[in-house]
Amino acid sequence: MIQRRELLKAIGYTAAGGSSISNLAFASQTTAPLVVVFLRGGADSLQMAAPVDDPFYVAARNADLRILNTGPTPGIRMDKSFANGRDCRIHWACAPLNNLFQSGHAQVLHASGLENATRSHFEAQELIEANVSGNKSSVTHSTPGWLTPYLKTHTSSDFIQTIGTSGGQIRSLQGLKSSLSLTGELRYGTAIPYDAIGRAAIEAMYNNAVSNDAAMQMGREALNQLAVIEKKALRVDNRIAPYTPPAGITYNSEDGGWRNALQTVAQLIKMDVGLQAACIDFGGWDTHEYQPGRINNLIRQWASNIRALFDDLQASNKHVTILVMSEFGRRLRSNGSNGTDHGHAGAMWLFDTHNRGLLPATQWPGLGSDELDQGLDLKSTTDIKKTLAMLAKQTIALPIT
Amino acid sequence: MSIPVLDRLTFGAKSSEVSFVKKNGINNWIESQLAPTNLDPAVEKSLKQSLLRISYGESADYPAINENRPFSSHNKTTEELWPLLEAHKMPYPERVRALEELRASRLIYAAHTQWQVRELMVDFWHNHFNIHAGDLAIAVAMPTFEREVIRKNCLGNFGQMLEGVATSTPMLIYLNNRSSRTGAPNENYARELFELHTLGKGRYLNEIYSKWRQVPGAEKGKPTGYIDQDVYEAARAFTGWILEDGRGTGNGINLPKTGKFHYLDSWHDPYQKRVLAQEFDPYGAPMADGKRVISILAGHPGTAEHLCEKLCRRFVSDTPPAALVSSCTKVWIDNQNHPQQIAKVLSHLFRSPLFVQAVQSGQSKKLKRPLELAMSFVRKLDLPHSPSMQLINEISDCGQRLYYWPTPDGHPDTTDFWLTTQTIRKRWFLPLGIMDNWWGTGFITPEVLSRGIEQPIEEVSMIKDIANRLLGDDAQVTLSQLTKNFKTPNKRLLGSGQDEWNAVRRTIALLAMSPSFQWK
Repeated sequence: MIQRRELLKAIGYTAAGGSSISNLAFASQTTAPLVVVFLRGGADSLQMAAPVDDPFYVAARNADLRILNTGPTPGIRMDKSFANGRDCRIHWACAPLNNLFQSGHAQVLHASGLENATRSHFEAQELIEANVSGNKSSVTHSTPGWLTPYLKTHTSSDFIQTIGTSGGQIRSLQGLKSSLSLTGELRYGTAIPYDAIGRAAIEAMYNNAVSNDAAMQMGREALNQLAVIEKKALRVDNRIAPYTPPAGITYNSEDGGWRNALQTVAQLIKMDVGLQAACIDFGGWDTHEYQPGRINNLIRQWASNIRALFDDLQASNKHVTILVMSEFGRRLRSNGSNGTDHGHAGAMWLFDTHNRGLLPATQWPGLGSDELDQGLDLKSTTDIKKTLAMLAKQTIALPIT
Repeated sequence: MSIPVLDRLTFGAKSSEVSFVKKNGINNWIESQLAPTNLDPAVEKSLKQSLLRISYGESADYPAINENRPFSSHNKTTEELWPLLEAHKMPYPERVRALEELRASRLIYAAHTQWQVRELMVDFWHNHFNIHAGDLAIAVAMPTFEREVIRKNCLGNFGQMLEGVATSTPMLIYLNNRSSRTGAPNENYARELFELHTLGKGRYLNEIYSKWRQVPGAEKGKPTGYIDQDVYEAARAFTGWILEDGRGTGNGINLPKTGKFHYLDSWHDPYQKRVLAQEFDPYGAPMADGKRVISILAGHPGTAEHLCEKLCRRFVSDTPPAALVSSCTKVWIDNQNHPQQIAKVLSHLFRSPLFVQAVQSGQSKKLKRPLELAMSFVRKLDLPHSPSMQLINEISDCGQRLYYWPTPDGHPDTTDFWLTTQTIRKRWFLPLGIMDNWWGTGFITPEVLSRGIEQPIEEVSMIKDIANRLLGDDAQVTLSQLTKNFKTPNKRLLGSGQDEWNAVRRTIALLAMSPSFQWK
């Protein structure tokens, strides 16, 4: 068998922009992985956090497409208004997050958008996730992901640097050689055909360290990363144990994929494998039709599980920074299908167990027709790309002071 | 033993296809593939004989069921299946049975059809016009969509297919046009029509936004790209293109409940419009506005280039040569109104020296999609194959979600998407699961594996033969890696012992887990 160190050298464990080599202590409790949750489809942030007494807001939408300040399900009033003098509220189903806002562990950065104010899902996602500054013509399939340059090289092989939970390519980590991908429950995600015999045979067929065959490289990477999990995971009867969150913490299981993704991340952080970043998708937010019922469900599942992950890690004395974003917000005025079409700026959400208040508050541009972007959409006052860069520099693999 | 062009244009070549091409030449095979007939006896036989499991627990309204059932609803019409939407007391697996059969039929087609190019194009168009079938109303309309829009036009005329898609039940639901009406247009379909179905996002000139005259070529009536105004105007053009889904249309009138397309003039915005620098007069004939948008887009050179680039990416390489895209684009445009426009383009592509050379030399490989990976194992070894929902689920875990890709862009077509630590691991299981019949795809007996091999059967030479069929030129290297590290196969005569054959099966499955077998 080849030496693992040789293997690592050969397949090039270097992040695209990372020239510095830092020797990370994996058992260290003083770094916080950055968990990026992407709400695919363009989440209607105006139904997640809004100035509910703004007459333009009230006039533009039916009650069931708004956060309300009365009735059976009023929004939850925020202590700190993000729109000057207005009654700002988060959606009633954000209740699990409310005291994180009160304690300063949570921030909402409204009116965040791309400079290239595209209304295309795919262009907006590409611009956000690729390492570019808003100019679409410079993006190609091989443009590195936005997170890639910030990740620090590990000097040991016994690590899992990043995790993606959506099955396919993780666009934000493009260009990174070392990236674990895992869907479903962690305990089912490590088996190899024919167990030890199969591993030996597959290693034999995938042993060409200098080949540029992408399947060869990915096969070696898989064997390597899975071995780390096998070694570090909690076992019962010689099998990886099903995940049990700490007492009193319950994940919402309405969407098993969403729950599994967060629990996998929680487990990896607790395994001390040197995780620096995690990318999680939560889809279904493209609500052109029948928005009220759909978005209530989504917000409930989203808020419950963000809170569960936060509490889970805090209970285990681990730190984490969770960023939530979407490719764009939706139009202020609803359409005729009880839904909303693609808009511009939206909200980014930040949750930090270390309560660092990492990002400066954003400006609220107002919802009057002359305050809207192109007369239609919430105007962006903060460039998403700048926020991402600022956050990555302050968090990834850095000690918490 | 293997013919690279043939492997590229099939889900893995069966031995009969290899023999045919050796005898008649690849060009004869290609031309027959591009003019398929209605005859497909192997598929018909399998659809008639196969059983597909259905199971659900009991409730107050029905008993528990767990049984294998013949295919019976995959070819029903939308109108026949539409009443299932209101059959609330019926178990859900019964209500989506037609879609489940349709999904399983894709395995049957891939494994058994003699019209392999058509089947690859069915997959191509399903992705190009991707629709997520998680909504029951879409699920019951999917069989008709696949039969009448995708299969019927997959080698035909693009403009016809585009109109078929625009008026199809699943697309009208998925991209919400069914609720789009004058004064309250829904932009979802119109936007993806430009961005995904025709011109492509590369031609979205958002920075120009509202100044249509500034789009290059616009002053001459031939804009090279589109802006949001085109999307808004097109959305108006498609108002009133809806469905007979029982909804009220005003004055107490409700549409019937058939699930069929319906043009409702009173919901259409009749006033003048401007789409891609062309002026539409007010009060056009019924559906004329929408049809004109489709016609402009289908005939636009940008659409030709976008589609030809996608075709070249699918069949040639993740980064297709510009010269090939450009010559295909010319053929596409030259055959704009030809009923076999797409077949013409493919004929040009598959016979062009650039394609043949790139494929034969092994310089531009494509990673097999998971369905192709599973089926190439089945086909190259001429294994029996019964459709199985469990295999569909395994393929889904490998990243290919047949009828369940969530967004309208379809699965990406580059290696970067398909290869992750998760998917390569799941890919390794496909040959094992098929070989050992984990998912009910059929028993693989020693007789099947040794078919055509001289008696008595010697293990090393038999495995060599199988490795050649699976891996072609890479067989020897892969086999020697296995032999050196794994002490298999052994030089011995094979009898009927279970253990001997288990070892043989394992060796064969391992060969298909090799890096080489991941590519076509």
